[in-house]
Amino acid sequence: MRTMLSFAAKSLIGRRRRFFFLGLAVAFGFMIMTVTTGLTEGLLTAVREKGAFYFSGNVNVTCYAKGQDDGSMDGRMVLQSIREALGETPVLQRSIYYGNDAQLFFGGETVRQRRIIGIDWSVERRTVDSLNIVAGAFPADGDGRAALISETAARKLGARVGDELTLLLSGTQGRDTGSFVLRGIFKDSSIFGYATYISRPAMNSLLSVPRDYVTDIGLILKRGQNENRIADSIRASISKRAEAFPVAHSRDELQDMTRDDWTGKRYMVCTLDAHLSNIKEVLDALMAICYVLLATFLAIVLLGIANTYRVVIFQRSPEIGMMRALGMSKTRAMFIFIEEAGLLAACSVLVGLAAGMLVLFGVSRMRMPSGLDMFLKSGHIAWALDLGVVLGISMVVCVTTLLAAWFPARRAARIQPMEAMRTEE
Amino acid sequence: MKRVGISIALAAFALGCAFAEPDFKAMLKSVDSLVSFLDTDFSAEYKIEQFKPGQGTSVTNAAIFRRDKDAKYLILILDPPADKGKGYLKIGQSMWIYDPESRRFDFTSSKERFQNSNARNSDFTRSTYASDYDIVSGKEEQLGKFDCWVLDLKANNDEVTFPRCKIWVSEDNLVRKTEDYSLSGQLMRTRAIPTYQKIGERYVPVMLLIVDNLRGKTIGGKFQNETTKISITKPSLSKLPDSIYTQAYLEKVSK
Repeated sequence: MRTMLSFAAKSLIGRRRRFFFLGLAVAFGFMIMTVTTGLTEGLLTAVREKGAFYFSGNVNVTCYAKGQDDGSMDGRMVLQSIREALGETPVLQRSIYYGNDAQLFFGGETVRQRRIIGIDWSVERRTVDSLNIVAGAFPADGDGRAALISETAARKLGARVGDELTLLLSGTQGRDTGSFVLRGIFKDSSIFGYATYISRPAMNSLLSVPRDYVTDIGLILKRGQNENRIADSIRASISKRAEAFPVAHSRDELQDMTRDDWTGKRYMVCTLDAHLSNIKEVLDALMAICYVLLATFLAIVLLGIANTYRVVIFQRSPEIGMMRALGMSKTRAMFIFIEEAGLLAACSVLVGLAAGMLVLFGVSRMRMPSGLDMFLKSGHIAWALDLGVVLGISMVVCVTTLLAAWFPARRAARIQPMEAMRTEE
Repeated sequence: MKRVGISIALAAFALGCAFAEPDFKAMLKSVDSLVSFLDTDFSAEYKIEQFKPGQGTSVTNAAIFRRDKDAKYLILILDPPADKGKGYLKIGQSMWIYDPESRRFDFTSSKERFQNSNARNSDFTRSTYASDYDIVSGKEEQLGKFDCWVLDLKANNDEVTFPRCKIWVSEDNLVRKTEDYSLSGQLMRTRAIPTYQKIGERYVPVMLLIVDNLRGKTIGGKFQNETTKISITKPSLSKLPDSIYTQAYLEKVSK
């Protein structure tokens, strides 16, 4: 086997001119695949991290109400249900204002906010990495006057860290305002950027609700933990104590369920994937287009390899004949070419991977326009390569190359030794 | 001696009457009734001039049709041409805004700003101070040429646009000035109604000035507030057809 491999290597090196462009094409294909998957995975990871902060975790529980019910969440019951389903686990407890009339005022300027999110600074400090703070800092624990707003909102207001902002929203007793000191500005011009973060007690005071009031309880999961399974078990646990919607798998499903004909109070356990389903669909479509293009590219490479080998085998017929005459079996003769192709594919994959990572590294160093904030980490694309995916693509490339070489190699093995030796190179 | 006693008693009574607070609830009811049209329809043309510091003034003309008895109104934008045909329809607690471009009705709220001005959609409905607010306190105050009672009011429901307000009521039970506050006491806007026009037994402001206390711009080192001036002309109490207060009417006239 070792002799055969060294034979294949020598053959490849000996015919390096012929194989160079072939190997380059395979390496280029693999590089494109590496870059595409690395970027997509990186973009998705960034969106998920930001989304997890914005949507209160990878799995979150909210409460909906119709009719007479005020829709206030029984936080203790939800926490007990989560404990029962998952054991002791850290959770985020938030008080979120979803009304569309929340506004920030400063110096006569105003900006509308999609959400006002009341969080516990001390608890969420650990999950704040995804929030790209560009001025000021994450507020100190217990800072009831602190506010975090996006760079877009700060620019519109003309506000800087330390300025006093007025926040207007409609609480349970009517429209109320609060004064907050701008402690930090984060960079995000995407949908996640139209949110203001203040402390939960301050939020509840503005809403005129009890200090421990919550609207959302969520969990930040570690990589590899199954969102859907966890959501299912929390939902099952909650449904023992209160009415709960089935777990939604997309935003459309979520909206349909809440719109349906029902009254009273119902709990909704939702996954981050469901919240991000629309964004994920776009990325998946993008990925699908890339894969179609790559499949076309691979098909061309496959044809190229097959043709090249046909020529190679024709040119090496005397050599094949000689080996066959000296007693080499058909299978072994065939495998010489297969191994050559395998070695070519392996080398190309390695070169393609290295080149792809180099490109990814280069792209990640570039400062991206703020329109792409949703997909960025600290203003840069953060690429991520999944080992499984890389191995999968490597397998596809290698198998494709081997398949391309298989048929010419089989034909070469079938050549009669005397006939082959008569062929002139 | 008897005469002196009677004189003292009469003087004390007169003094008591002079210093006694009026019935504020009754005053609010009177304030509401003087500017509401519960027994007829009301229509008029409103000219809304919006001043934004640094941006100049924009003018909107609108026709307003009100039927206070049924808590209905329809506002049709006549000018500027870009907004012509746009309409607001309020029936009870429901309110829609109509866009003739897309031919769509969208829900809106009485608390929303009217045409991006400092007026709220609720400014065009009937006055409901007596039913929506409780009186916290009242005091006398001179406001320009008017002797006024200043009433500090607190909303008794969360349907109103402002949960707290102060109103200056002149001797003729007409509101001359209001200050609208948030629940925690932030002054949101100030309104002044210096003159009214009498129509039948009711009153309609001639001009209404609204100063937004939160919106504005610092120009030349001086803060200038956004203001809205509303002038009301051609008021009428003529009966209007029921069909006016419908979505179909808005669609028809907007074509």
